[in-house]
Amino acid sequence: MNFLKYIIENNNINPDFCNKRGSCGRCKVKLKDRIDINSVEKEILSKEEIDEGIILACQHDFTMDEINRLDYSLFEEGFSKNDVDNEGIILDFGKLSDIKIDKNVGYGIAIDIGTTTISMYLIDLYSGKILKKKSALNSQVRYGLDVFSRISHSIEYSENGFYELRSTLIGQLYEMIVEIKNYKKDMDKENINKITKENKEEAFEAGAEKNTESKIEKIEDRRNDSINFISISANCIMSHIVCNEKIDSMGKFPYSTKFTSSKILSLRELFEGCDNISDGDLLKDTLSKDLKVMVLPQVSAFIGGDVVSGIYSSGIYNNCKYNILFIDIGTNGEIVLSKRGRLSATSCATGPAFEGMNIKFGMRASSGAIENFKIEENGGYKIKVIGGKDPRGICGSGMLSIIREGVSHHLINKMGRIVDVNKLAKSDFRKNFIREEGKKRSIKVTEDIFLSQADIRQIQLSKAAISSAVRMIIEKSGLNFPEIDRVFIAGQFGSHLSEDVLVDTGILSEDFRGKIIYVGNTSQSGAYSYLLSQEVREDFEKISKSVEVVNLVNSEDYEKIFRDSMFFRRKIDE
Amino acid sequence: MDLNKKIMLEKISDCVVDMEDEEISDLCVEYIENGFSAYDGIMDGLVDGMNRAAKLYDEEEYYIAELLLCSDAMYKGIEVLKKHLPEDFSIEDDKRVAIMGVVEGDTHDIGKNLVKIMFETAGYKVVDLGKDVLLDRFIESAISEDADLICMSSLMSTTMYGMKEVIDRLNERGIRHRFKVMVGGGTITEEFAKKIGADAYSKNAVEAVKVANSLFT
Repeated sequence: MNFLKYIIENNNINPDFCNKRGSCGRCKVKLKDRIDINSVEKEILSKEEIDEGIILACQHDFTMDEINRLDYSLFEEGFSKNDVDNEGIILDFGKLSDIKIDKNVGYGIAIDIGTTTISMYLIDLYSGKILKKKSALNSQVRYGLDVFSRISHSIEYSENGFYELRSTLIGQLYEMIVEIKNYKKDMDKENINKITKENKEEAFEAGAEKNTESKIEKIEDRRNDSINFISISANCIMSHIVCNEKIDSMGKFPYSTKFTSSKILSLRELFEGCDNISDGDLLKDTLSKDLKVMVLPQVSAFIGGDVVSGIYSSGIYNNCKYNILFIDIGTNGEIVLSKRGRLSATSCATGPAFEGMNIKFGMRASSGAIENFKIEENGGYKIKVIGGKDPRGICGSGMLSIIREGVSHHLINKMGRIVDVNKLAKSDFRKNFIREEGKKRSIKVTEDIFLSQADIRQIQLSKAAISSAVRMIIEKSGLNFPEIDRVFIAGQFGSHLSEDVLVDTGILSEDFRGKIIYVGNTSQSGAYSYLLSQEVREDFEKISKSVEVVNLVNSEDYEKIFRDSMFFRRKIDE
Repeated sequence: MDLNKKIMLEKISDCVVDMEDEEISDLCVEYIENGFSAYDGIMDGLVDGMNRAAKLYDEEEYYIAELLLCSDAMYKGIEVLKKHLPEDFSIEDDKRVAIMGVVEGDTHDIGKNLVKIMFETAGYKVVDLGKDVLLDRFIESAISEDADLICMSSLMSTTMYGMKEVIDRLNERGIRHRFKVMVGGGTITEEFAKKIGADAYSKNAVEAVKVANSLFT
């Protein structure tokens, strides 16, 4: 087993690493007994570190016996505990529009299965009221941080890989559902404690369990008391895993799917093959035996149910009177263009740079991440760190703000090259921000943290991926950039990137300044609406069938547009 | 050398380095009208410029976009000059042949295109199979072109094992020794290249040429 994987699982570590490439250097472990290291480790580790017996955990596979015999210690700076306090991160999309609720009895759960985060709402089906929210890190991250790595896992371990992905996911869903449903049990306990013998009647009304003999009433109770419907909004790969359909073909061109239509699963079908959950567990008061799991429809392998949710929730279909660009930025970015209701969509391989991977000091937007950097009038600087304490790295918005400051203060030229510090006058304030070590230049952010030339290049590639996809889809529609009325940015990740930083660095056009609106977790809100209303479900069907998929692969111009999008400039035609 | 010729060659080289794809055509026409050798114009002007650009890439001064722009200029110049090469002139004969393509299931070819440019600049004959290349096609093409080198690229972790498959098939057919195999791409590492039995790995287009050359010395 991979040593880093073992460490992550057994120490509840935040899986914030570079996917075993040996480029981030965060998984340093000190071994008491010397072992052989490979060329990747020799490149990243210093001579002193190697002499001390330090290795990169991701570069070694051991048997369980070997691990048990190892005497090792972890480097704190690289490993942080899994701080899954994601409650605050779910953003709701403003006002959930008026929908015609079916008014079913009992409870429902609306789930958004993201590649990184799973979020769910417990809902009273009759009133539509959201009773409780819950979110957690998708435990599939142990098989890969991005969706392609997980598909690779399934391909590489052809016997068991898919099963591992599925049972991990379904197992986690089950645990989260049980926990979220216990909300009502907690309420019952509270009520029982408040009530005296004389107030038994009130106790019944407060929801405490009835003590009745009637079998019919028992079933009615169960229906009133159990989860009868679940809706799942997810990307196409996650949706396939939920439906127990193979995902390997989506990892390779032409990315064919096993299905794109909406699906309904029974209780048995949902838990099919998941040996980690026993039959007994399933029926204990939580899930109805007549449970219906509704999986939202997809458009294509890379435009999933979560994007259809986004289209629905943001109202850009049908009678939309405007031209709206809808973007969900992640390791895979999805872009939808609504030309007064006429929908087209594309996806791009943004890559994980904005999430910290392959960047020397890159990290996710969590405690210790520099999220903003500003150079002051007097030549000094200011940084903003998430959590307010000592900075340990730079997250996506931090990286972009550094580049923005760098370009506007002429530390970095428009082509992305850091200027030659040796050519600057002695008094030039820029000297404080540029480091050159053996011909390699970097932007100095703090004494210990910097953004290297190579890091900037990675960011340029991610920038180019998004910008070029946006440009292609707009050009294909016949619209001009100024004709775009609004740009909706969805998702947890996108919400961290401010309009200023996106437009100043040129990721989004200057024409979009003042037009950007953050719409939050539209996948979750779409799942919510889908759960409650047949009418909504019909709308989803129509939407999913009406989106034209724009393929970047076959476009001749793509290489030129991609190349041009690498430059940092504000106007697309500059 | 005629001073005038030397000056013109430097200007042509500068046009490539400075990504002047418009100016360069006129300059090359002027060069020919002066009666200078088209071959020298290509080798000491255009290719020289591209090599200088490659050096700037090595020094981190230039990146992918700049190399692509420089190559645009270079190819514009080649279009003009090659018409003036002597009729019986065949530059192709002594060249090493490299088969190049993006592995089956992957369509990300910008990196591979850049490798092709650098190889052509360095004097290789490149047979570009394009993207999403069926695994057997790498082999069939290598055989029919009597290639020296097979270069495979992949950006995705889901398709990279196709490279191993190609090498395995070469082994099965008993022809592995006939070709050098080099691999590269976003998800490829030195370790991976060794593991699958490739002869070499390169991390970018500029390095690829140096590595390839070292395989043949």
